Amino acid sequence: MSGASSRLSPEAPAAPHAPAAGLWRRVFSTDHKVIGKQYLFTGIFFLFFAGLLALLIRWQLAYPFEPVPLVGRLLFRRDGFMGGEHYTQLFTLHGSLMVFFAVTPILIGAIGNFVIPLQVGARDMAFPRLNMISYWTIFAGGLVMAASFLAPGGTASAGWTNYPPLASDPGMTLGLGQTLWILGIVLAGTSTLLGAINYLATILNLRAPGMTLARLPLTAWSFFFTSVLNLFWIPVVAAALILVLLDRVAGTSFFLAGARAPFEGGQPLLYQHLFWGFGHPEVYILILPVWGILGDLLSVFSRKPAFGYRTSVVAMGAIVAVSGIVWGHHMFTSGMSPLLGKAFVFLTLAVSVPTAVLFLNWLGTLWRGAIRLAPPMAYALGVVFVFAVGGLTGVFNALRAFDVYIHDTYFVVAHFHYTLAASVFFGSFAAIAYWFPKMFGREMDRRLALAHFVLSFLLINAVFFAMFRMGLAGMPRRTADPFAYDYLKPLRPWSVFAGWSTAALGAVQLLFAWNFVRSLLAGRRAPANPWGAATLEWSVPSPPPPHDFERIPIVRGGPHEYGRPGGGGLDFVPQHEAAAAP
Amino acid sequence: MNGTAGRARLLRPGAVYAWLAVLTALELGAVRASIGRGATVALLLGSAAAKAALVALFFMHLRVERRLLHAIVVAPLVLLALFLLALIPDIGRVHLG
Amino acid sequence: MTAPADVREANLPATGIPTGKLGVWLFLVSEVMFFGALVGSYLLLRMGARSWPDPARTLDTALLGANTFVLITSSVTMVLAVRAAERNDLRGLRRNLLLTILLGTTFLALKGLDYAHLFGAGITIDASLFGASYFTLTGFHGLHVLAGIVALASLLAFSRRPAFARRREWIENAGLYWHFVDVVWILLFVLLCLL
Repeated sequence: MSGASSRLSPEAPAAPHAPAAGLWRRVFSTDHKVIGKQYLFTGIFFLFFAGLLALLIRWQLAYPFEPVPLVGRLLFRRDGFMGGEHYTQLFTLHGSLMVFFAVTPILIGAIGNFVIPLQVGARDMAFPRLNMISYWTIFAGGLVMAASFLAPGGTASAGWTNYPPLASDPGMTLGLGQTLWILGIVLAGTSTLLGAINYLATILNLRAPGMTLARLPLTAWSFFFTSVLNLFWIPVVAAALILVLLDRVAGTSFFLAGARAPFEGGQPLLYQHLFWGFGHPEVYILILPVWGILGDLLSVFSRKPAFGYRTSVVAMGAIVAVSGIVWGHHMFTSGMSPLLGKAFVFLTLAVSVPTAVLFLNWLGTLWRGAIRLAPPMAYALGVVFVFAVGGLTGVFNALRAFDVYIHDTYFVVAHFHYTLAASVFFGSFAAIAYWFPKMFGREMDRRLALAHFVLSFLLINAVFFAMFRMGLAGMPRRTADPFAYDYLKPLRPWSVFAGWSTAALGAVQLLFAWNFVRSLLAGRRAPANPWGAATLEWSVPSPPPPHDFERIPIVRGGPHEYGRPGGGGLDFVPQHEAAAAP
Repeated sequence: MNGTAGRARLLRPGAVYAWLAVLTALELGAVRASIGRGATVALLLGSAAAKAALVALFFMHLRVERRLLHAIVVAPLVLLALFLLALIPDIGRVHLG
Repeated sequence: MTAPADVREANLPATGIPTGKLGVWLFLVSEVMFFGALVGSYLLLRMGARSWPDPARTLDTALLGANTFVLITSSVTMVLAVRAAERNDLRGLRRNLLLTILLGTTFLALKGLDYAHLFGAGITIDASLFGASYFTLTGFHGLHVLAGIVALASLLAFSRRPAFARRREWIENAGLYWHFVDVVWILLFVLLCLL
């Protein structure tokens, strides 16, 4: 046995992680735990930054074209007013920074990097140096995005979807900022793609002996599936963005038509298909890790095996398979052949079946469980609620007749924020609260975390419920002053309500930041397994030693053996220990 | 599989080379001969697919690789084919008005 | 303690596919999707175009055909390099790597000749959909050939170091990439230059 385990990773215990290495080695580290933390800090920075952009957006919508308090003079014109072009830039950068530089780095970059090798029983990623390059690529992308704010005329303003002709005709959108935005997104995408190759190779090949696919924790499964989607679809959006870039700088006309096109034959609609060919899988890329994390966390904190483990894995796989052929529901208002439209309606509705399986499995896990309301569990239960709201309203959007009415309204904005903002952020907070002790060897303050959860939960629902209300009344998206239209004037109080709720939500996040920083510096020392969890990462000290495992473990059981007697009076059986004889 | 044992089931590089050369010559001949547009297109596409398959199967050893690698290669091709087929009515037929 | 029956041979990667090779194949999947999106866009735009120049009259198909032979030959020398590496035949490995690099460079040189020919005829990237597609697709392919040449040249230099003995599978992995770039050209040659 010892011979077998030492042969698994012949080189791992040697030089790469030698602690004596200097500053250079620590900054350009190839240790997945260090890279995970780098992703975490980067992601949290952009989360706050893009959150502040949201705050400015809500100010404009609550008090259109009134001077922005405190920061207006600094950011906009001398008189502190925000112009329409500023508003457009704000929602463009809010969306793209949140998706590519906040959610992706936190959930996939940080949690994925930190957790995957520990959960599968490996000493590092399959390609540690590639892992380091992934992080520094997104770092460079972040710098390029930052530089775009300094470009003459400001940053990009074509929305996170970057539709041509708006995005590709230099005369229509401001020049350099838009170009830098494209480069920044391509860099972020490249980083995520390289990460996906690493995650897939690690999960497929570096599993410890006995860690069969059927014993893989749901978190690891979800990172596997999310990486499959990244591997397939990021190259597609990269190709589409590069063609827009060529349209902008090389004089091509792939996506331009009509009088402004240098030559005929280009088709703007093709870009939309390519973009959403990636864009729809992207929403699953962001939510899949949350689903996986939820599957494991609900089980740990209910002290029960995850209900329907296999069906959860199959459901996630089915969603991955179908997600690549439902993109058209983002384009019902763009026009498409009726037959194709019908196919997209049908396929989109079909996605709700495996999604419902996942959801019912969560409820099945909770059912008659011995629920412990620790902070990670509170956040996870929050996801169960907000994801239900987001998921169910998604079914409405899938129906073409209804979608044509609500597509460009705040209804869709509310829907995708319930899934991609509320669900993903509570999922991220659940993950951070859950793995924080393992990452940093210290515990977060539980009361502060619970307070942060309760307030965030109330406020985030206030913000996005108000958006559902405004959307159903027909308030259009992407409009700097919707109240210029008479029929929308009665909605103004809702917009003011959403605005102040956003401000309060932002303020509440300072609670999280305070808790995070204070716990990092002076939190209580964490034991190896504070939650009584069965998966492999909790079998090593907190924080784990440089090579993670003293010895590569041999896995003897499933990931969710809770509620049955283990050795030493435990109420669970860790994955690396054999179950006691009945 | 890994190593030379599985290679016995592969065509020798010289034979693959000969096939690739013959098919390329055939392609160059097809565009010069007047055999009708339909026949030319069919011949060219068939030949290109055959050449790509030869390189993938024998030079890249897919012929003797594990099923996982086959799945890894086939999946993107299926997705791309679906994507292309779905868009022909909207994008590929735009000139018909 | 005896290991349970389900404990696999721990000295093998869990899938039986060497990790480096698996990584290269995963990377190639992303490349298939990247070129697939570019080539698919080209095909759709071309199907939708009102007119299209006859490539046989526009392009020098004899030159491009010769270039196809060059790249195919480079794939054969790459195969021979991989086999030499497996036989531990360092001389054969270096000779074939060098040949592959030279053939790749020849391909790029002939590509330059082809571009010059087109520029002379007034066909540029910003002149027509044909020009835009041709230069974008062959340009990205050319960049991939260039990257392959750099990778093979680094391996050639690395092959002189003692550490190379433990890294011979790198030759096979680089070969996979090189063959993939060859496959892309095989398809582009027909779809872009002959059809």
